[in-house]
Amino acid sequence: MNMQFASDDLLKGDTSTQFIFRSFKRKIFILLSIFLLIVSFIIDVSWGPSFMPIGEVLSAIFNPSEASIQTNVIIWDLRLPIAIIAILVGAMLGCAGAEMQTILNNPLADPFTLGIYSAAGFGAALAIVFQVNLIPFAGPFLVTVNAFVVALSTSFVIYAFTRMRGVTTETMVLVGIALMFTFNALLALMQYAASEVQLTQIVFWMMGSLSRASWPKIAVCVAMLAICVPYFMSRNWALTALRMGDDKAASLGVNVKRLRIEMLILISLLAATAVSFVGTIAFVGLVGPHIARMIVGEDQRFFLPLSAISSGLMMSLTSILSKAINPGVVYPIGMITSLIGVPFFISLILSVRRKSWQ
Amino acid sequence: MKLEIKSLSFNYPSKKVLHEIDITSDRAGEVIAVIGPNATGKSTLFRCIAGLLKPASGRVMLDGKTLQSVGQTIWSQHVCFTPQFFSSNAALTVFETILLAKKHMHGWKVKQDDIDAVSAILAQLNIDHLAQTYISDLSGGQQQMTSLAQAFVREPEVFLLDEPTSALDLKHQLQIMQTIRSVTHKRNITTFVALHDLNLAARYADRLILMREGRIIEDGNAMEVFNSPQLAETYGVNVEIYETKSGVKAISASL
Repeated sequence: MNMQFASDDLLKGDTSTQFIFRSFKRKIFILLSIFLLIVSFIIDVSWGPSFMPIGEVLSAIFNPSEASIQTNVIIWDLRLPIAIIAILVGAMLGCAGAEMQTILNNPLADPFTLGIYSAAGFGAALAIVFQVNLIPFAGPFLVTVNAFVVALSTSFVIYAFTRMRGVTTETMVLVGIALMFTFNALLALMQYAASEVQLTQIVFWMMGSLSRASWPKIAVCVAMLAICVPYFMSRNWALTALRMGDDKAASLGVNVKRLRIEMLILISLLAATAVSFVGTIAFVGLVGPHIARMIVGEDQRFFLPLSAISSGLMMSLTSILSKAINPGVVYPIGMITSLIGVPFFISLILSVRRKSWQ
Repeated sequence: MKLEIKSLSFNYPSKKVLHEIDITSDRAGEVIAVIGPNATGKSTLFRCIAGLLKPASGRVMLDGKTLQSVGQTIWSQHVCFTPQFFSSNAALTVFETILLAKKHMHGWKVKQDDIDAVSAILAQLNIDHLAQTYISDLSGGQQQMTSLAQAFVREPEVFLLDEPTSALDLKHQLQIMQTIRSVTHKRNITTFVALHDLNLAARYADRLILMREGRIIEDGNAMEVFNSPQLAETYGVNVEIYETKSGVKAISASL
């Protein structure tokens, strides 16, 4: 009874108390989501053809010298890289999607909308079908490197458009959609020219899979996040202000044009790296930030971390699901994110905060 | 504080919008109403003063300093522009929106002083009940009140308020104009207000500037500008000046 009274009193209190209470609640949500992410990560590592008790998994992670060789191989060479890259790629796509939606002031913007995924797919197909080497000495990373180069080049094409006079955020989204259709058409052309084996490879790549995870790739993902996230956080005030419109942000002292260009470059780096490592993973970069927005709003101090964590959590849960649907078979993760993402996304659109989608 | 606008001109690619504008304000605590028909260059003038548009020629100086000499970030702390239209679908509460204008937030920490300042302005404008409402859920008038609260919570030397009462009902129009006047006089700053309601301009402004086709036609107190034949000619209407029972000068217009 007393607690109820205290809670009501707080909610009806002065506006500054309400603000502090709301900020506190948001921090709790972020801590809770981190906890869920850790739980999901441990389950993901435990789950597989040979199920391991959580205690054995934790022991192999923190004390590998005492675990058997077989357990070490399963954990360190197979499951850990996949579980870690699922979270890292999810976080990268979540950050890229959140900031893309912010700088373009468009809730449907994400690297997929701007054609970056299609470009990566085209780059990968170039390597698979014609063995075209866009960067010499790519060696075993030929497909990945090609996907990265074409995805990044596409980002710079979009960037070049932003430098043109009179280009608005709406124009940028339209240019992105045009690029997406162009690369999809080119990809179809490549598929037409491909042999049966090559076609299978392209389709598998386009489905998105975590099976290509490796420790060097994890290191690159960590490096990319270490470069981009601190920068995003340092600009949190300007990015939040940007959501009030260019005019308002500029009147508060934000250099809107420069901010948009800097962000676009870093978002492209994140998205291109993620998609070149694991293939096309649709909807995570779109839905993750929307979940974060519903829970903590768009104050970037909370919105960005929760976008990264919720997207990482989505990827981690999907990774578990990809192994659980049919034991012994690991389904491509991109396929599952699309299957789950579409109905989830539609239900979000129809249910909550209708105005924020307009 | 001295604001000097000298020979300010601005062109869009197909049109010359401002022609050799000269305005000086060295009186602390002055409300200047900028009046004139639609598309006469009022908003463009405000954007040039705020540094959001680059003039073709001329300059704006605040105590002898120009935007170029101090940079946009510093300039925006001294010169606060509030655009006419403010509509956002952002998932930000009214409190967060106003707090954004108070300071450049870096990291997680927000100062208690800033939180208190936002609370105070919400109470002053009687919109504290909206503090935790998302701005996307506000009516047009409530969004305009939020936008004005964003302006008042800052401490600039020059306010540029572009049609601050266009979406407000009568009571809120009077309340906002009263607040603009008292804030201007209390803080000893200069406030430019673009207005279409000439009676509001006469009642609350210390000085009126009449613009037509990018030029200043008249500059003086309400009676000087209202008695000028240029007023009727500029708006293309017949005007009649009268005094209300309470002694306030008012204007009536007919076609």
